[in-house]
Amino acid sequence: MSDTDTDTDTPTDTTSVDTTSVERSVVLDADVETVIEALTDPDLLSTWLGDWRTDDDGDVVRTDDGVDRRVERVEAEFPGAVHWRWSPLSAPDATSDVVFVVSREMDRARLTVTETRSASWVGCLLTLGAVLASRHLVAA
Amino acid sequence: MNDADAVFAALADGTRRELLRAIATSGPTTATQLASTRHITRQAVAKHLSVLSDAGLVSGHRDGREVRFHADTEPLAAAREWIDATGAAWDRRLGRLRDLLNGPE
Repeated sequence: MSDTDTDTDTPTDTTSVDTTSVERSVVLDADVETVIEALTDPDLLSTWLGDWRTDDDGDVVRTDDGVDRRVERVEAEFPGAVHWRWSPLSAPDATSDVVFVVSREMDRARLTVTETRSASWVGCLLTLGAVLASRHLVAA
Repeated sequence: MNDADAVFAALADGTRRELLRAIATSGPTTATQLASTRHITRQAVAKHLSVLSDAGLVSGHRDGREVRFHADTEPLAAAREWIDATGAAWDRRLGRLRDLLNGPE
């Protein structure tokens, strides 16, 4: 049961960060269908996420950090979820998965977004980190 | 392409990850040495080293006629910064979405 109200300073009600992903959650004064529309309609996406356009290869959004990101829609695992795989046009290998989950909460909607970097580099960071840490211990 | 993107792009390739691990484990080494124990050409190794070098993950130092590469940890911190930047970005985006759906206070 969450009883958090909206009169907080930050838009985020819950926050969690681990080594592989970033998660944010917010309660919205809207029904689930309206939130889904805001996640799928290009005109609405342009008003809050960033300028959304479609070219020959698919969808591109320019987020507020000025980065053009190619957005590939992935079939969501369940209804009420929207799943993208996106990557900067300048670094097509640097993909991450963005999963939005919308659920009903009383007469409002809770939106949770999780952005996860592809697993390959995380494994590398952990392995390399362990290698370097052990070398530093030996050196010290 | 920012620092973190360059690091992620460099690490997206399995051969480069393996080369980076090898350099980090064995200490400074040359493209020739790296190629000699693998089924890839020295040229291919050099190309991978160039990508890793652009990302700041390895740096080369001339040693006689060879260039020896060693691993750098600094960019891994830049990669971790991705997590902070991404979290801040979603705070801004969800704040705008809330303004859009909730209307003016």
